[in-house]
Amino acid sequence: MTRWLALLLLCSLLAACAGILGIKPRDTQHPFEHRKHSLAGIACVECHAGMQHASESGPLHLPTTAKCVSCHAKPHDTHACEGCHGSTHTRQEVSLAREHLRFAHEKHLPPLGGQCVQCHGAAGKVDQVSLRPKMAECFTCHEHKDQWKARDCDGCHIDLPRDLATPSTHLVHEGDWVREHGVRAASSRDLCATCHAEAQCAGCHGLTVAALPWKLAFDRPSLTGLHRAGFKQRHADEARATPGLCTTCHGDGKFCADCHASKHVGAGAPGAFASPHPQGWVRARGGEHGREARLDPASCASCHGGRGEALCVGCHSVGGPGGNPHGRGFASSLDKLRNDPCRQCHVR
Amino acid sequence: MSRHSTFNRSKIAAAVAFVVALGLPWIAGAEPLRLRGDAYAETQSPVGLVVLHGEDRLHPGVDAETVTWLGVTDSPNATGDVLTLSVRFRDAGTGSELRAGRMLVSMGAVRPLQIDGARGLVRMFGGTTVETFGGFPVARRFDYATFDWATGGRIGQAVGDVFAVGASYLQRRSDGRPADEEAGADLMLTPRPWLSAAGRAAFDLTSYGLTDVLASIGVHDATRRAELFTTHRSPGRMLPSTSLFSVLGDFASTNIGGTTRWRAFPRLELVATGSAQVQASDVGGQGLGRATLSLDDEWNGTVGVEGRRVEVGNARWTGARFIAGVPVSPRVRVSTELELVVPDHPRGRPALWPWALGAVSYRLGKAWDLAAGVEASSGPEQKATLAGLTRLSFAFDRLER
Repeated sequence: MTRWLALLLLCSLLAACAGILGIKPRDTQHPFEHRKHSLAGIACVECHAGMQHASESGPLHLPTTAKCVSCHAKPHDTHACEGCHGSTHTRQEVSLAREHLRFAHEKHLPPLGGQCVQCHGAAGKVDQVSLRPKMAECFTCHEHKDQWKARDCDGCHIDLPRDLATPSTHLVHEGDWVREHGVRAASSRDLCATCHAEAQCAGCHGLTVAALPWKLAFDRPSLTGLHRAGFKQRHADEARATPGLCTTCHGDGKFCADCHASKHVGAGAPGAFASPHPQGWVRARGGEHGREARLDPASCASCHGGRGEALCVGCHSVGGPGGNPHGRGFASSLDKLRNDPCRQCHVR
Repeated sequence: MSRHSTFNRSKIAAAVAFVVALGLPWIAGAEPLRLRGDAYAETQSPVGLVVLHGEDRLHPGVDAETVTWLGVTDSPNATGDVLTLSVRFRDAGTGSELRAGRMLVSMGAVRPLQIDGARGLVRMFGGTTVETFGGFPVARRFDYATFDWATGGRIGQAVGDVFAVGASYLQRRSDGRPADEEAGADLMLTPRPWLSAAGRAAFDLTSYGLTDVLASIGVHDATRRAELFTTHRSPGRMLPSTSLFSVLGDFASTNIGGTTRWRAFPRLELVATGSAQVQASDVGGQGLGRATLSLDDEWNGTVGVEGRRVEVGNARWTGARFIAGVPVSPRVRVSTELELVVPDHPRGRPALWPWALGAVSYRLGKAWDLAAGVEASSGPEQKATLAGLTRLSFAFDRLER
């Protein structure tokens, strides 16, 4: 008896897991029975009336309950047919296609002899996940090589450059895309621009970004992005873990000190004169500061940049007690007597 | 040209471009005009974001866009800025284009720059592209100096969708003196639909040496993706060469790692990434694992858990994060996020840094969207903070017309 109970419990658990993990859909809606209707010899345009004349705009030609009951004279309940027959997802796809694609059925149906399944192949299957043909399906007839070369997507797509636009078929934005996008964009920036507006790059990489755009989407925690969650409180440790990375965006050297001063936090804050450095930071024979400066010079520049550089020059100018601060093999194209920052030490 | 006149020039240029951006679509009897406004208020620093994009279906060769931040801070002179505000002229036949205004210039491997200026792109000989730009680098708080300018470009060659290679160059001057000079090379390969690789390298021509190298190779199928990557970065060369800290000579940091994503089940996604880092005699690494479970087939509602370990130089900490976002009705969505960070060596700081956020959003019709939340944290700088967040968004293009 116990064994049967355990088996029953296990089966229930597996069934629950199957539902949770999406192996067994829990949705009460199911795909519309296109195959059944088709096998019964009903032409698509009998339900999708007027589709053969449908242009780029106008109604979606989705059948209503009235249309269904014109054949199914005795429906099994009084609810609207589309509530159960056909999924909301499929209807949303149709609506989105109308909004974002230039497509006229009136131009496609005659050359195909009214055969809808040539493009909508999924309609012939029992398990239809999506009825909208993928872009690859279009390319079986249309080559569009010239448009692809010229990155001219506007011929078919409307309003592609949108925030959070992600392609479904011809490009992959998965994994750690935030980290990866830079190296991909280096050689394919114009390809990126076919979907992403200028605004999307500047939203993060602009010099004076007041808050990253994802910050506005605080109600969507599943979005990935830089500086997420409690980044503000761990930013110092994040910066130490990736030397130089912060400088790729916050490159002017005053960003850290300005922010700390305006928020009255840390060593850069007005009235906060306590040194953040440990004892022995600067000694007669150097101390730790030289090595630390070579490991992460941007972190030094974040407080000692600009006029603060005078602190370094005081010891490291030519002939000064600090000696030559340049690393081994240092070479520069700058004129040491004319250009900044060389002249600060070399012109006395 | 004086500093003051440069400031005025920027303001006038911005005002002219803004008027053009607003007026252009209407002049052309344009459709569609895309306008999005987000007002974001935080108890600490309220800011607003206005995004405007105008284009004309009858004349698709011209479009304009702007992103403008408006903020209220302690500082009296930092109440707003234009991130991008540009007009683009495009020849649909060749794909050549010219953009003028304020924009972000990112060409090949050289560092991205935000400029007030112009950028041109010409396509020719089936796959060759020539890009060039010139202008005045944007300065924070209008801190422009006389003779600040930047120029550069990229020449690239693509062979179908399989191969693209490019060489780029950038020169930036500050007050007439050299601030940055870089040359770069980039490469992209997609030999098979399931295999792609990309790489870029930038070389500093001021203090000779590699500034930044990134390379990545990835394979994927419908449910899995794996990627190997490496980065090599010289932190001193990332600074402008007008900074004293750029001439010290530095220890470059090299990273090698991999990341995988696996849609293990239709509603379960697993991501793992890890890397090893070498800088001078320091060797460290970091790793992250994340599991996201969807609550529906469309992935509208999700719960997720993430763990992270960082052990690089002085930065040593372990973190955990939990997220949940659930649509409770077609209009209302609730979400929460919790993060816990435990530093290995608190060094006088608290031993646990918790951060939490709770939010609810409500969609009013198609165009309006309202969200409110509460953020609470305790960290190394402040014992405890509590902040209220609100966002009101309006998308003109979602209005039913």
